[in-house]
Amino acid sequence: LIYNLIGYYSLVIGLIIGLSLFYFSYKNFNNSNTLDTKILSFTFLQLFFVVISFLCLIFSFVISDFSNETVFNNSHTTKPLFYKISGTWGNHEGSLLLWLLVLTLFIFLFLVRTKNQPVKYKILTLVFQQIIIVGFFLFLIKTSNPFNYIFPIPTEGLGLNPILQDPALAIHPPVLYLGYVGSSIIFSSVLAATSLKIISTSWASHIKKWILISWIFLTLGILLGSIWAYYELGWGGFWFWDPVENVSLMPWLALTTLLHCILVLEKKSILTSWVIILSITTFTLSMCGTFLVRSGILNSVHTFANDPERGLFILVFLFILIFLSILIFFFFHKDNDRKSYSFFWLSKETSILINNWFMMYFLSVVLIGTVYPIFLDVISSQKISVGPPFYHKLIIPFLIPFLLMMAIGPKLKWIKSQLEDKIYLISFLIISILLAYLVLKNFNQNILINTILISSALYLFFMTLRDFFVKKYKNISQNIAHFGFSLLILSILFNNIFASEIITNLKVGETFENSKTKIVFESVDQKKEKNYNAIIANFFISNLNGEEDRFSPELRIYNQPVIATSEADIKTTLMSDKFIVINLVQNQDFFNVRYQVKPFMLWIWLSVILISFGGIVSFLQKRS
Amino acid sequence: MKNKILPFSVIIIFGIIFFIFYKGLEDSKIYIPDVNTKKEIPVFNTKEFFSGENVKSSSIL
Repeated sequence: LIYNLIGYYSLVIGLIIGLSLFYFSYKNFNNSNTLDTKILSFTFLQLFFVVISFLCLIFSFVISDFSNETVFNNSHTTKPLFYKISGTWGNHEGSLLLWLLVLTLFIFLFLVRTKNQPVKYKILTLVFQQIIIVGFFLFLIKTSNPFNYIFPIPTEGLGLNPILQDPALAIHPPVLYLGYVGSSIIFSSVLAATSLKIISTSWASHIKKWILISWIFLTLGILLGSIWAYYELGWGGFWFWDPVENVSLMPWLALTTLLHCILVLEKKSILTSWVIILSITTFTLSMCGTFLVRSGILNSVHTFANDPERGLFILVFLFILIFLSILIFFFFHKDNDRKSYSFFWLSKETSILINNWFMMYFLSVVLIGTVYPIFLDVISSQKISVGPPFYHKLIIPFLIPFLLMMAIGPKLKWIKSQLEDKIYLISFLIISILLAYLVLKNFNQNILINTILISSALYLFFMTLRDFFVKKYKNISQNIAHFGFSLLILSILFNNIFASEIITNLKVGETFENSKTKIVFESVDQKKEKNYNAIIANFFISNLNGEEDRFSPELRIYNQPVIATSEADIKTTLMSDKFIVINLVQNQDFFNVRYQVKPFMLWIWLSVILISFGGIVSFLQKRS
Repeated sequence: MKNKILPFSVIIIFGIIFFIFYKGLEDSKIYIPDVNTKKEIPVFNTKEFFSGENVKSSSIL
């Protein structure tokens, strides 16, 4: 009970501090050329009280304090300590408190770390960030209080959704939020800089590190979610174009485009409109994602509760922020780029601009695919499901020019360029096409499009690989990220083209055999753990190459709430993953067995890590 | 004139989006992904291969 009280009143105090910060900001904005120490102290205090509130919720979960409604709804005494702690953010109220924690953390760090920028800019950034923070305080206190009290106190909780009881998913939300919510500081600072008309090359250098922080965490957060979905959801894929995945991909696409625009702004003082619109878009899409997954308008693992009041609050708040941004953009921003700067067709900035348009196209496809079912249902009461084929058909063909531009763009110079090293450019292209054809010639399926796609990805791969030797440490961060991207596309393509799958029903003791693979269902065992019981199926699988493996996929029956999940057994090697998952066939002795060989899975994860590593190198380079 | 049309159009577009989302809230959970993560507990009865011991779903739940 004491933690409920401390946690709740910490939130109320945090809200009061937020409101008082508006007053101090107003006073400081008009009367001084230095940042009032009260502002810094109050911002720290606000962070402190949100941390206290967050710790109270964690303690409530750790000690299984079921007088707290959030703990009662999402925890259980039999849950391991690790999942009791991670359960703090594995629900609507706790995750919103984490949102607030990241919001307050970022504005505090921003004020402490920002040097050599006008005081008025810092104050205005604080004001815009406080609008968001106060909005979230009100949202938490009014509709999503994590410290609601229950009486009489239940003796046991309802438990956490078993598929959320996983190490990758325990750290996925905090990492994702650092990127997702971290983009709020970019949003606030761009509104401040636009209002004060101080968008310049020095501002670009200053905001770039915040964009990088947000981008790195968002990339890693998406990766963790994808890894979790791969082994936990039991379908063996890493990206399903589920709306919940899409809402994290959209801010990433906007943020990646913004990162490239900020480089141009930093060097040439152009693309200011792009920077402003993308900064606003990134955070708006983050908020929009929160609305889509929390309002109940979409059904997913992340839809913790369907409460129209919550959905309406986020919706109204989201559109207040959008309209505020539109007003500031149109009222304060005057775009002089086109009058004073002409883009030569062959230059670095033109290539970045072209790829920006491609990224915006990809973003539009994902956005339409995600929200169109909602629109259609409201307008015509028709229910449709937009699945992977829609995205593949609209995105994949445009990846080809996108990859080619990624390969050639970095070779170009600013302002006006000429194609240097033409021999290398052409010879690498020919090698890539030949290599792709040789790899694919035995596969008759879609050989033309697959050859072109793999050639484009190989071309980017070879060009960036060459740059490691030619340019050495020059543009090393960009080179690492682009190299990682080429590796990602290649791994995804090879994974899709060369993957194989066997789906069969087997009884214990039976064998499945085809021309390449033999699956022996040897035995079943049982396992009892604190929070679940499991049936373990033991398989012996051999193939034509003489490779032999033993697999033990599980069917787990969690005790609270009572839910069955399939736990895949995965054997990972450098070149491929062997993935097996079982399900029980209703009222029969048969087990449904799904065995997949998925080439280059490890490389998909490694390439995303490499992409983020490029961002980390860029961040550290700037700091040094 | 052109300068006024653009912001006005953007606001109208976002106004329509707001309205559609607002109406969408009235009928929540209208989109259901293909992957249903909550599986029903199946009723089954099988034997361990070596021990021959019966494994029943009722004894596990």
